Amino acid sequence: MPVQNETIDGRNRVRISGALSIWEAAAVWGGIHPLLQAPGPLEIDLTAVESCDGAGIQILCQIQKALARRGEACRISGISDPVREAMRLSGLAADGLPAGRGEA
Amino acid sequence: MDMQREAYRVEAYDLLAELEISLLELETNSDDMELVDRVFRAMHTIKGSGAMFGFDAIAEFTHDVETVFDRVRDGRIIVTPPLVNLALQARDHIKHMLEYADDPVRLNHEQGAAILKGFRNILENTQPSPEPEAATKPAWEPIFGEHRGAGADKIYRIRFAPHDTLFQNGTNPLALLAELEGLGPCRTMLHLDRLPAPEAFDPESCYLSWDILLTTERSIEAVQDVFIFVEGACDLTIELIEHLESDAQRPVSPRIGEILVARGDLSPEAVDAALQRQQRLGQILVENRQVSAEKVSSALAEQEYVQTARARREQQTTAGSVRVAAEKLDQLVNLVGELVTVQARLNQKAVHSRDPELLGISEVVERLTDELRDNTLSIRMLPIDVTFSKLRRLVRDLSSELGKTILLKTEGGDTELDKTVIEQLNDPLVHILRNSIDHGIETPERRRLAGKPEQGVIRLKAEHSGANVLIHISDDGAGIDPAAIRRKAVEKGLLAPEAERSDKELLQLIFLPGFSTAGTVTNVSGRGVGMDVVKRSLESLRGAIELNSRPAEGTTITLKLPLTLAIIDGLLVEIDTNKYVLPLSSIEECVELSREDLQKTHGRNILNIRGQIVPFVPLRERFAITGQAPVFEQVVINEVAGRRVGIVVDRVIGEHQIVIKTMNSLYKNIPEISGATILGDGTVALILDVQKLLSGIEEEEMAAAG
Repeated sequence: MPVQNETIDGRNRVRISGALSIWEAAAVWGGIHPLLQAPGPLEIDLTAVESCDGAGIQILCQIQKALARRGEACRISGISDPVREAMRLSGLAADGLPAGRGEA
Repeated sequence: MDMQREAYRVEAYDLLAELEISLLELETNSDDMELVDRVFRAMHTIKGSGAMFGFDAIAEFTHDVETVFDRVRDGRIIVTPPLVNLALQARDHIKHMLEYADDPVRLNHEQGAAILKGFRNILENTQPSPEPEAATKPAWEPIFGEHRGAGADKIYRIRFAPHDTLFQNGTNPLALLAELEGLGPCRTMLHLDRLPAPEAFDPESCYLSWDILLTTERSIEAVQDVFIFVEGACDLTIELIEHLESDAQRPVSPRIGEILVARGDLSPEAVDAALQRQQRLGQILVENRQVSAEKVSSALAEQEYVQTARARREQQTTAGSVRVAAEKLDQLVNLVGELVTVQARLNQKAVHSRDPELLGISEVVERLTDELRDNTLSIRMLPIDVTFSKLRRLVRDLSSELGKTILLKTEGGDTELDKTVIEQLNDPLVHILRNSIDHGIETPERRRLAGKPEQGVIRLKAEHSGANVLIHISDDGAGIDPAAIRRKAVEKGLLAPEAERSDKELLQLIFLPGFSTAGTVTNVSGRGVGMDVVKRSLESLRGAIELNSRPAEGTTITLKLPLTLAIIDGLLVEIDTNKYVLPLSSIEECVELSREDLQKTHGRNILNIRGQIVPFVPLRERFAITGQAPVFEQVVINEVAGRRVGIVVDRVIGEHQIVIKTMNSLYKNIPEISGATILGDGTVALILDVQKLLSGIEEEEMAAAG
């Protein structure tokens, strides 16, 4: 299962692992979409993402947009180098985001 | 301390010149924040250093001006024409304060106070600082990657909007972006406006689109090749928006409206309508929902990107410069001139001696001297832009004084000319421009009646042409009526009423002393200084002036100027034992003249060269040189003011690099001789001014004819 979620102290956390590409897009979105309805901010952990393509970036943008529509914040707790590179290439600022554990 | 004060003064004059340019640009480009920044920084430096070096009055005066521009930077004050006007006045006042720093009594303090009052009024009417945005900032937002371009010279705008099926075809758009980065630094702007609501979102469809600015040396084909496999799966446009090297003239920065129209985001009409209001264009368009905020910020990023790239290029060209006193340079040029002369002597000696070692040394010295000479002369070269930007202010002030709207377009501002030429060019150019603004360009009403756009255009263009630089000054004004010139010339007694003259010849009468066609003498031109003065000052620069005009269409004046005044290529000729130099730039060919040919002319001094009649001047006769002319004389054919004229000499010796020495005051008033030079063997050769030689003869003939 590429998407794991837990709720700690009322905070929703999502951890995505493995590849985040067009092949996994439907499954990942299927795992995340229901979580977007939950109240409160969402924290995303991307440290275990091994690869990321345009479809992956699009999902990240959609998560942020969906939360923003509800006035909720989306916080990234950590990203892996492949995600950082994909964000940079597509023109998203990844500079301020925390690096993945031992991967940056 | 005096030295430091002087250094401040020099720096402040530079800053003021820069400030003027920035302000004038700001007038037409009021939403260009980089210009605002430049104005602010200039004011800031003038103030800060002024206080440091004891120019307290200047520091105090500049303070409020600086504050106003600081608020413009914050977006709390909007740039309006009155503000720019006031700032220009302030700039002039600071200049006066610098000039009269030691004699403050002469300063117009009332004017200073009035300017300050204007700025204080602006400050009082400013809105309080806007509240910081309360909205939660997203965790990440589209940014515009760093511009790392250096050396690359083309900027492409790439709009890449994949069709929704792109992902399903197995294409990863990021791979394409990575490939683009391989061509050069990119600034990538991601657009999310096609992204649907979460319920309608299909993670396997592509909703993303990009605007990319790519700085590269590569051709457009190389950029197109990146997208070769997705041609059918996306909407793609690739345009070259900036060619940093070929844009010789630094064009005005693209405006945000222009960028949006060029990108097809907006119609020109919508931009015009929005511009009617005095607000930031982007703001209005977003408020009116004519274009999304994302599109505007993308266009703003493009504007900034292009400006940064330009600034970087400019910096590259100006970095590491040294300020040197002009006299030191003149001294250097003089020394190089001496060296060239000595080198020529050495060369001659070496050839005579036939000593191979000496010949070898002489050749090396010759090569080094040539390089030294070229380098030294190039140090004295300045871009003519310096003069052009001064004229910008002149056009602005004069046209508003006369109630005319005039646009000054300049081209070839980076064309370089010798410092001395540039300095002496200013007055003639000012005079010509005054004429154009005052007499050439009509009032807006009159232009409307004539079916012309209300705004008149004056073009200043500089370009190289061989060893000369041509400066064209053209306007689209009323032109000059040859019939009016004829009337005036007859009235002034400069032309016989029955004299037949072609239109072109009539136009030349303008250059006669005491000629002015203006019906009314205005404040602007017609101060008794005519075009004859312009012509004379150009001739003293060894230049020439040409005038073309069509009634109702406009006037073009072309100035022809030598690149440098210190060293010329000349043809060395000889009469008896006297040596003369003719400037090579005007020489077309040399032909032989036998005594038989001479007899055939029956003393009319006319030569038939390949069917064309060419008059000639026997120099031996003209300079009253005694002795017998050789059987075969040489005629050097010159082109002077569009006509071919021969100069008859005994012998042609050959081409020489001539270092011009000015004549001492005793000989200064001989018009036919423009200077002298010292030859390799130490003898002196006189440099002939062919144009003056001919006009002298013509005047004598006119006088003789009565």
